[in-house]
Amino acid sequence: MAGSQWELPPELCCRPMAFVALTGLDVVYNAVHRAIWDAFCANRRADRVPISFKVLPGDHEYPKCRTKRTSYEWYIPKGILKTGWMNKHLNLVPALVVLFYELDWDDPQWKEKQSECATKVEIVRTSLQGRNTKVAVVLIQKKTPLPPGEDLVASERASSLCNACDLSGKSLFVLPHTDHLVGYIIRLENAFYEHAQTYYYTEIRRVKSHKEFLNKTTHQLLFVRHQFKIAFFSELKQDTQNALKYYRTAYSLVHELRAHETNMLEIKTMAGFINYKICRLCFQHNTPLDAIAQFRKHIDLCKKKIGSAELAFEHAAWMSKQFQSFGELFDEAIKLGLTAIQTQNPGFYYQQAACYSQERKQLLLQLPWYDSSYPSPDPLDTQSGGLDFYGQRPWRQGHQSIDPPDAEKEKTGILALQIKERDVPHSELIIALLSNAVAQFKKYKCPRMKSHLMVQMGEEYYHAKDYTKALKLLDYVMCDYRTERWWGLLTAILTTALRCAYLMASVKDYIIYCMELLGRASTLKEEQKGRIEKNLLKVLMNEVPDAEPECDPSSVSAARSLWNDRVALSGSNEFTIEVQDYIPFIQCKAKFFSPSFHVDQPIQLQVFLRADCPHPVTLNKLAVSLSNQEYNQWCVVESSGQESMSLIPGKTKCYNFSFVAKTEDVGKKIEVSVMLGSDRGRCVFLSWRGAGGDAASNHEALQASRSSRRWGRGMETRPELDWDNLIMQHSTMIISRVPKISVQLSHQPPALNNEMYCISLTVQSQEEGVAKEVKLTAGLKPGQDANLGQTTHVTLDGSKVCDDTAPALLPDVPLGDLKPGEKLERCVYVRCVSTGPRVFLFHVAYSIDTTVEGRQIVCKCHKDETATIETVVPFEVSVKFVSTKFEPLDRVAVDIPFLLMTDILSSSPWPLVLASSSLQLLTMTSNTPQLQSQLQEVVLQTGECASECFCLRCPPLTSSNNTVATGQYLISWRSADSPLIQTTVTLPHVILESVPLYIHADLPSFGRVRESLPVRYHIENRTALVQEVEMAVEPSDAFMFSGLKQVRLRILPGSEQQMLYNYYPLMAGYQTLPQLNISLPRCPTTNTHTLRRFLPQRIFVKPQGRQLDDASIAAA
Amino acid sequence: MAVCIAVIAKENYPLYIRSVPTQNELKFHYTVHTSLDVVEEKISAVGKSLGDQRELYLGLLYPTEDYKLIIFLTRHLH
Repeated sequence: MAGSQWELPPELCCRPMAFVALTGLDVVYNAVHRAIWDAFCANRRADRVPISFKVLPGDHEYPKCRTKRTSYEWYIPKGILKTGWMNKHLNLVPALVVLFYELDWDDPQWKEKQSECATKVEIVRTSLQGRNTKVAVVLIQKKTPLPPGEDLVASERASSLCNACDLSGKSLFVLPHTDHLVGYIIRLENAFYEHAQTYYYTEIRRVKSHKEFLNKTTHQLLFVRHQFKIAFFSELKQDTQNALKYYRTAYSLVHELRAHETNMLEIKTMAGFINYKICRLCFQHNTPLDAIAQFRKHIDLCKKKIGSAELAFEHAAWMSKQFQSFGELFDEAIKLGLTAIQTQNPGFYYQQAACYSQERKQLLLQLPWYDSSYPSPDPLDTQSGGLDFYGQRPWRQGHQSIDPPDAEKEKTGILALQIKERDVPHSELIIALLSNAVAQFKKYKCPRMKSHLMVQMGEEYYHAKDYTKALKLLDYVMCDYRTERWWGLLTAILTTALRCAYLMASVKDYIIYCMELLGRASTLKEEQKGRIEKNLLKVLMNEVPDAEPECDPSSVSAARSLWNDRVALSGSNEFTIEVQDYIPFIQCKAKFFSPSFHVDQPIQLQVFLRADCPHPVTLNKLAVSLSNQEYNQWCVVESSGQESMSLIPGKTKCYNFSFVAKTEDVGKKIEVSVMLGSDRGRCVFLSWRGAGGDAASNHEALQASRSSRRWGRGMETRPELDWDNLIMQHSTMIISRVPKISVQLSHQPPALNNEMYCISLTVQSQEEGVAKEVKLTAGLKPGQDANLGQTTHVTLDGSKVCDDTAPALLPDVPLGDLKPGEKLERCVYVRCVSTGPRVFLFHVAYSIDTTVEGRQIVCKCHKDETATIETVVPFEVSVKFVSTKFEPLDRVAVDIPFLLMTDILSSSPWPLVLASSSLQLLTMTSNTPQLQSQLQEVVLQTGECASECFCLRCPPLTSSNNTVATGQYLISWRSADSPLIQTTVTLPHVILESVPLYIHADLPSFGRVRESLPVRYHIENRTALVQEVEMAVEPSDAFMFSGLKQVRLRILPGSEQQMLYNYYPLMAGYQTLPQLNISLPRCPTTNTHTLRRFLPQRIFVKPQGRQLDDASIAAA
Repeated sequence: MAVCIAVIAKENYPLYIRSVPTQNELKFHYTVHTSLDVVEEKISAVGKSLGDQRELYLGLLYPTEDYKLIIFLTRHLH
């Protein structure tokens, strides 16, 4: 690339590493040597010492060392730094040469080999004569060495070899070729590194020693050169702190040089190099602020050092490179972990580099243009093909005086440079830099900067005549400027875009850009707008537009022929442009009069248009497209012969449309979008989605509403048609006609669970015509809890209780026609199986004939009524099991009678009639022969309770299950005069137990003092074993008794024993009967306690009757 | 010497912008517009930490190659 003249040399940009040459290795044919070499150079990790290794032949010729200068007295330097110097010390002059030689300590030909080795060392030394380069020898050995000191032969031969080769002991190494090669190599290279460090240290000392011979008048260049060399050697020595120090000194020295036109480039080149090194080291030392400060200083110092005016573009190129390299260093440091910020990131440097590249291009364009050919012989040609010193002119190398030696040569040299500069692909360079900057600004959240740079890229593509790419970029960023409302910038971008579109003869783009440049967002002056308007008209007439100003003349003629081709093409003359996202010169707003219309009203729509261009515009057609295409025919305006549709700039024009909605569109939304056509030679439709508006109108409407809010009443005096205050209404809803009937509900909540609840409905028509096909939909309102659907039943038949098949919602029950004023009544019965609130819907629909704008339509109307009804339970039923002694039971003994008690507690607000009740027993049997309801035809008021008692017995069970179902309790009831409802209550389960012995007593219901009271105890053995029973009657104060006081008896399985006692009460009142103690020795689980529960504890004893009383009773 | 003065609405569009007539006006527009990146970022950072107690004078935003940009925020401008 032609720009390469300004590239920094690679030897400057690399990280300097100590150079160590390896000789005596045959890496091609000797596998052992190859392995050694690989261990040195393959996969070097960062923790290995920084050495650059090279394999050289044993007789390699190193660069000759010039004879050392003894005096600087007559020496006048020809330049600052030789172009080959850095490379020489990086790649040509080693710090250490290592000779590899295969030799074991016990080699049979030791003597011969020792002398061969010495010869090889000598050859290397001769080639390096005059240099401080060290030589080291590595013996490659097959055997693993013994620990130091144990091998006497080895130490003796080692010192003999050192003598022969004139080596110090520290420069002789042994490399056993065994398993641990890499380990040995690492130890070796660490030793090499130390030698190299010493070498570079001596080099630094050597250069420093020159200083005393220098004088400030003639040797200024040498001061810079020496500091640079010391710094560079310090870098090779990996002493970056000192390197930085010396580079800084070198940098200030370079600016102390006497600068004039002839050496300006050399000074700047060296200053650039040194600056690069300083910044690089600062980033490496993690002091980025120092790097930035140095760079700023550098730029401030060099910015004005332009040099010769004819070569000013060179200065711009150099400046650009300075910024670019710094940007790259910065970017590199970020990749290694540095954090950059929004206001300090590499993007700024790439951007500035691009700026200077643009300036470079401008400067070239500003040069007076002679039609001169490239001079011959080439003044830029040098004998060696390159320069001796950095930054010098090829035609006067080494020249250091103020005036050029030959004015003619100077002229041709400059001319040659200028001509060469013409071949530089400037745009390419600029675009690459800009795109680097874009990537950075994107990363550091600078969207506007990014857009700006993309505009510049677009402009550069435009200059490079790549109009497609230019338009793509400009188009991409345009919307950012549009949404941010920077009209000045938008106009500038549009102007460039228009030029591109013109030069490409891209008709549609051309029209779009023209439209926006004529619009209200454009900051162009009236006459410019006038010119664009004229061009737009030409394009619309299918003519070739005039060229845009400031276009390259040659491109213009190419564009003209493109346009002529376009014009000649007959097809593709129709365009539809979606203008919503632009700010076109015609504005459009549409609004429906209302957000909703009843189907029997005409729908009214207004379309407002306004032009912002300098002159009136004529349109051909205005078409509105609605979501139902059938309405479109009613919303079209076309210009006819007499009446043309023209828009006067700044004046709002309004078009009114009205149409009748279709009844099938009831409940649907109608949306509007507007199309505006102007077809002449070429047909362009501007299309607005929704109800118009464009990229700027939202904000304008907001501003308008703000100012109207602020000025409050002042608004009323404003003209009615204020454009910004026009609010668009992009859709309208078609809703059904308002019904003219009344629907009334009457009922008495709450509803009782399961009852047939009656809701009576009255419909009365207020229509003027006959309401036809009146239909009722009644029942549970949809959209409630899904379970309600299963537990609600609706019917029209209230004579009997409906079953579960009755639906929750009765749809479309036909009620016939209703004449004007006619009234209709219906009862709807609702049965709610569960409690809680429910919403019921009563929807009365009908159709009626009406006329809208002379058109007959059949309107469907409907009226809804809802009622929320709470359902409550009519009564609560509670059930309990008790023993025959009315003691609560938690278990029921098998085959022993017990009682079931039920309570019905009314919670209904109205009287409840209990028709009957019954038991449906499952396992149990009734202990009484016939179960009869005890609450027939009982009426319960609110809060009253009806109870029943049933004596049951559980027969012995065959299954082992000890929990059994009891059965159900059925209650038939009704409220007021509704049909009978049967409510079923499932009785609780009981837990069964079986008793081995059952005892019960037969005794009268009461006793009388001093009268015999016979008590018979029945003892049943319910086990399969013979039971032995011990029975004793305890004495009691209240009774005397006769019978067995204590007895022991046996009862056979399944049989019964009876014991008779005669008790003789002594006291009146409730008396405790004598306690019966029973024990079963064979059945220890059953004791007196468990058996006593079956026996009565007390008995009422009446006092002794008097004779008289008896007589009176008898008399009575 | 001040070369350009701009007043920017809170929606980031220019309410007023004037620059010395001798130089490229467009360039100043771009400079002001791009500086809004930094203003926006600073406002959001300040807004987060201090709420209403925000410092209005943002001071020197950043030096461009040729100009210095100084920003002052106002409380209400309507």
